[in-house]
Amino acid sequence: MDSIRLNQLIEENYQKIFLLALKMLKNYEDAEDATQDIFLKVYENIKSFRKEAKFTTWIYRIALNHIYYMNNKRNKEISRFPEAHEMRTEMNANPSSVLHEKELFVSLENVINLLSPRQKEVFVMRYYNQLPFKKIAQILGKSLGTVKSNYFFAMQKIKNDLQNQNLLEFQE
Amino acid sequence: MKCIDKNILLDYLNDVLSSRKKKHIASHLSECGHCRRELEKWKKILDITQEFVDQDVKLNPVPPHAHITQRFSKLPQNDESSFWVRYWVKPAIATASLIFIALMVFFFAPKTVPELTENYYVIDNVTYTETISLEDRYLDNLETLYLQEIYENEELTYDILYGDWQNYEEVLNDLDHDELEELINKMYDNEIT
Repeated sequence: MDSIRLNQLIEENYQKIFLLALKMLKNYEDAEDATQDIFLKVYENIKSFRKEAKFTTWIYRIALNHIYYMNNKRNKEISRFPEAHEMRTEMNANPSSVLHEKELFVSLENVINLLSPRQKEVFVMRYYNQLPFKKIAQILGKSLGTVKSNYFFAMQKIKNDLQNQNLLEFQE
Repeated sequence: MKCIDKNILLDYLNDVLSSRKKKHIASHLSECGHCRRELEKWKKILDITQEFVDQDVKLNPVPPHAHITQRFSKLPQNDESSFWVRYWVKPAIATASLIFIALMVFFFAPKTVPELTENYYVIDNVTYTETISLEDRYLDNLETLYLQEIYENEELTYDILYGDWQNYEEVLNDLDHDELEELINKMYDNEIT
């Protein structure tokens, strides 16, 4: 792989991986740190990587492993020092929840945050990373059916939530 | 007609179905008001979600990362060897080593004799059947076995030494062409068995 193509791939994927980390970790600063760490890992291991066709799959796998590792680490910290965590979350409140003006969007933000990790990773990869279902299945090492059903349940949750809050006006 | 599953409707909206299935669903939707309304609901949910995601992406700008991406541009090329080394010397070395390995295998591989059916002899002795390979030592054993059998069986020994077959041989030698033909005809007519 020549260095120009490699630079292009890194640049293209940086934003996508950042968005994945942001949605999974629900914190801008944590996502920023995680993305840096992920790409440093990619840099360290790039020599052992040869096949260009599966480059994005490889990056996403590294990213998801790191994101889950960070999440576990953070959960352990929270259980040890819950007060410190509360202070930190107040200081670094997610800017998007403040910035979304529409009530509908605030509600959507909340319901997306409440999705299970498996549903959320599929949702984020589908909408934020614009990956086709086949690619998502490849990255997660799961069947296409499993990925689609995770996506379906995530959408069902969103639909139910918006309907329960009467935020949708359907013409009956 | 049975209404369409919600997840199939979502697949339809996401355009991940085969053209055959899409046609089937389109024809059902033209007839079923309930499914049409359900599709409209899902379409609205998907549109709102997409709108939300687009705005969310705008509200969360990518943090500065030039210091990370710059590292990648400083990476050495994977293969910096010259044109001649890459396209001539390396393939030549690879071919030579392959030939060397093939020769080594040819000379040092353990020799095996192909086992053909002709190399086997079947002993059918009424009481037992045995297959033995026709190696010299087995042939010697077989010869010994037969000689021993002949030696131990007096009747057989007598028959071989003084049997009628010797007379037949003499008779056959004396026959001229016509007589021989006559004898063969008799044999085929089962007059002689």
